[in-house]
Amino acid sequence: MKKIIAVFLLLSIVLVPVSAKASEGTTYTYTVSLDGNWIRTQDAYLPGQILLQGFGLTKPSDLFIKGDFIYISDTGNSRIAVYNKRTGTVAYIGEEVLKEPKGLFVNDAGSVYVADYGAECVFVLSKDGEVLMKIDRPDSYLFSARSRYKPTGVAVTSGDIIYVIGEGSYEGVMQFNAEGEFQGYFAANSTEMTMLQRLQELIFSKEQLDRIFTRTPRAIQNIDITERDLLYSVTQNSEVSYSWKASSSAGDNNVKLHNLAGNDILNKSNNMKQEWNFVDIAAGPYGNSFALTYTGIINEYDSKGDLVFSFGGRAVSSERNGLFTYASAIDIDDQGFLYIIDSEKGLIQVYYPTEFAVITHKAIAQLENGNYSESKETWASLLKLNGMSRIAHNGYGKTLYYQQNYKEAMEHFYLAGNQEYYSEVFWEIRDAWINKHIASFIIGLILLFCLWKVIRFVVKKKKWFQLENDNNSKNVMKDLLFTKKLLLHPIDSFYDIKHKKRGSVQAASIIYVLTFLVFVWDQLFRGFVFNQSDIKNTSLLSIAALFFIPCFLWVIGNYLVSSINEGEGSLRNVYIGTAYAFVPYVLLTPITLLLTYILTLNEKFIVQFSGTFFLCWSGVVLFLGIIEIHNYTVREALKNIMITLFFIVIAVTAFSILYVIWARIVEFLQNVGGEVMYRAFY
Amino acid sequence: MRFTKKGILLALSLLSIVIIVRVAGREETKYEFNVSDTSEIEINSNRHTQAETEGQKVKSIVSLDEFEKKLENDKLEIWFHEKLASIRIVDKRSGYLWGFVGVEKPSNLNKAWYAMANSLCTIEYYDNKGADSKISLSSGDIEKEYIWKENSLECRMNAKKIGIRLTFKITLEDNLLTFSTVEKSLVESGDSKIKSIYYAPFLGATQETEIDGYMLVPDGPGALIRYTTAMEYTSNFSKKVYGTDMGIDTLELPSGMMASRSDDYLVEEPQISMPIYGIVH
Repeated sequence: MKKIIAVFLLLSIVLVPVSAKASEGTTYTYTVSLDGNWIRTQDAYLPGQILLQGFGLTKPSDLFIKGDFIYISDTGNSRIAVYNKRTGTVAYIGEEVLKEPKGLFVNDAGSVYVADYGAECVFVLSKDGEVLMKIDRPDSYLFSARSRYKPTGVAVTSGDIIYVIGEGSYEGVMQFNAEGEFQGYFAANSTEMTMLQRLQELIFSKEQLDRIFTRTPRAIQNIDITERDLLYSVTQNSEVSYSWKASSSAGDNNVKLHNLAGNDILNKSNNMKQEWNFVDIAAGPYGNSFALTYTGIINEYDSKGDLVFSFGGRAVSSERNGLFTYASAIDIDDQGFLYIIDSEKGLIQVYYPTEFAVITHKAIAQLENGNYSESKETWASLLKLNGMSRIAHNGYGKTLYYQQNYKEAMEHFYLAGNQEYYSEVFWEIRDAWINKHIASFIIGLILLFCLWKVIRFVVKKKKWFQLENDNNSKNVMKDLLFTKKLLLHPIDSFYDIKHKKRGSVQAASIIYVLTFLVFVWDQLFRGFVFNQSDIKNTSLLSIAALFFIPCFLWVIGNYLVSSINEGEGSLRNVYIGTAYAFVPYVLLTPITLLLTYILTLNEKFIVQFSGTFFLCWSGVVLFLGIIEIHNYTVREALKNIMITLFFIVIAVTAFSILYVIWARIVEFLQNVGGEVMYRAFY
Repeated sequence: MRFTKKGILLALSLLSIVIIVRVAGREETKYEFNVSDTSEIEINSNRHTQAETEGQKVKSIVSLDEFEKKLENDKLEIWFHEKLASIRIVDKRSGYLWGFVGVEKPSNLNKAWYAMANSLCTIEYYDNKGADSKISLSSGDIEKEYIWKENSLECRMNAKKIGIRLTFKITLEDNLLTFSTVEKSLVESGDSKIKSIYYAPFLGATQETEIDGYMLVPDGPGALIRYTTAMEYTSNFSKKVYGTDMGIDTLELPSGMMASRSDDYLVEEPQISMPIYGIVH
């Protein structure tokens, strides 16, 4: 009997489906993967205990941690709650004076700075709640008469400079000195204009502009001070944007670290993973920062603004510790624990770092402090834990780079898509290579030159390639070699095309195909340092469409336009002429493209300039071609080009309209068919 | 004069060296990359059962007034109250008395809930309009017949108005009290359709912190919920045992993050595979 029971127990253990739990936390932790998308990683922070539940906080909006005390602005109850972590007790201050306290800050002396939204001033309270100072709306001429003074946040440097932000403080952060005198604005966001606004700016008069809109930059949402007295700020987007690419197109970052001049010193926006709805930011102990959205997402950034971790989330379909209904503020204590206020639930949730997070922080700090050998080991251990983490590959690559292990470093920067550092490393490798091989390189060059001279001499004697003077034979090879003349004497060549029937449709077609190949190369297969394409997500068909459709429209359009505009060119001439205009691009761009494999970002100019130059060359040839083929004056040619471009726009528009209508017709026919089928057969 | 000049220069250069050395040597505040002591914060999280208070003998919050003894063995006694259709259980070993709620109606329960709280059995049903409502054993609308045997009670209940009949049995055996629905006794003769049957849903109920204790719910490896004030509970615990019914329960996914990060951020909740509950006080 016992045996049977034992077997049953065993079976029940084996057969009962036990879902494997991948994480101990409530939410997964994310980081940025090699391809720049989100990827799950090991838990970085875990939700810990809940504080101040049941203490009757009403809509708390901010918190500040100083030693064992947590200061919370209990906005709904017009007071500041001071929670003692040791004893678990709460004291209240400022109940008599405060109206609607929002942001708060506590300095080393224990004075509490409170931004009171309702009383429209900033209070400085002593430990016991006595009012030490009151900063009212400044009557300084520096203070904009139009702007409102509704403080929502405050931060104080160790030098007693008081930074205040308020609702709609578009002019930036208000700066006060220790005596509460207004000093000026600091770190305003820049204004952003939409396309329409730019157009209006161009056309409208000043009065009209004034009447239509007041163009203001985005107001800063919240601020925090680092240990080095630098200012972090977060800003929200005016519009909801779900993708970080869209939000970054706004120009400014949503998370900024301001230097003394007020400029942002974090990464430029296109590299920054950010959200549109940040409400608060907390400066970490070693250059990192934690930005919080009201949906409870917590993003940790390193000192450069690269995303380290993202965790937390909103309590939408399930209520669990670690999720937020409406998160409003975040702060970090001496042990690295995060305290986040849930304004809706009126409590504080504590997140604490796991060993994984601590190791990551250690690796970052070691790298920044220059302990490369230690840092390398730490990064290597992190890479073992998550081989897809971009920050780990970058970190490991950097330690290798500073230890002059360039070959391996290059590999990691390549994986991480870090063109800047890849270029640096490549420069070092190339430098070493040139130093090593300079002698043999020069000898080789001289030898090549001699060889070239000999070949030329032989060729000239035997007259192998002297096809140009041989006018009787006609073949594609000859037409292709005709391009050599075209490069240097475009006008003559086009004359020849028109009158001496030089060039052929076959040769032109070959040139189109070659151009397409070069175009694909240019778009997708540049050297890594200069390659901006996302080859995994690009279809060759779309590249082909991007090339052939404009070509086709141009040739047809140009012929049609010229035929009603006294142009002399036939369709054949336009077809061939356009093809030959591509010749500079086809012949010379490969040189640029080859250069992209051996140049670094230091020599970026060469690539950019030569690329543009060859393109312009083609443009000029095309222009000359039009003049010659249609026998136009310059003015007529310009007009012709304009009308042709207009034709292309019209053609594209007409086609899209037709496409839409066609889709409707198909849908209509399908509906009718379906109805008939239904009536007839059911 | 020359010497003073040289002297000044020397002094200045010395000063600058001192300044440079001082500035360069200014120690950055070292940050120790050790995992902080998270024991307290961890123990107070929901992944642990949280700190237990000093154990002390508690007094029962219910009494035996107006109840009469019906069943007994060497470990338990069952006392019964006809009007309330309620029982009390005396644990002979400790003398502790288990009940539902008191004889007086608590102020925070309405009549229907109070009837349910004290009744041995409550039926929840859909009426002919599809609205769901409850009827408890103590209700006057139910005809009931109690058949007491040596160690069991059989109760035949007939809710004539809604046309639902049911017989259930309570058996006392050693230290167990077993509730069971008698097979094939459940009959729906009217338009009403039965939704669920509750047996003694409030057995061992306490209010907030009136008694020190906790309950066990089958979440993950088993979770304890300690009794505290209502304010301190974030949400109720409600889950399906053996997984969700894919035919009825929609597959819920959190959304509304309005963020670039994906919506699959929630760690899956463990499925409940065994219906085990417990109350300790």
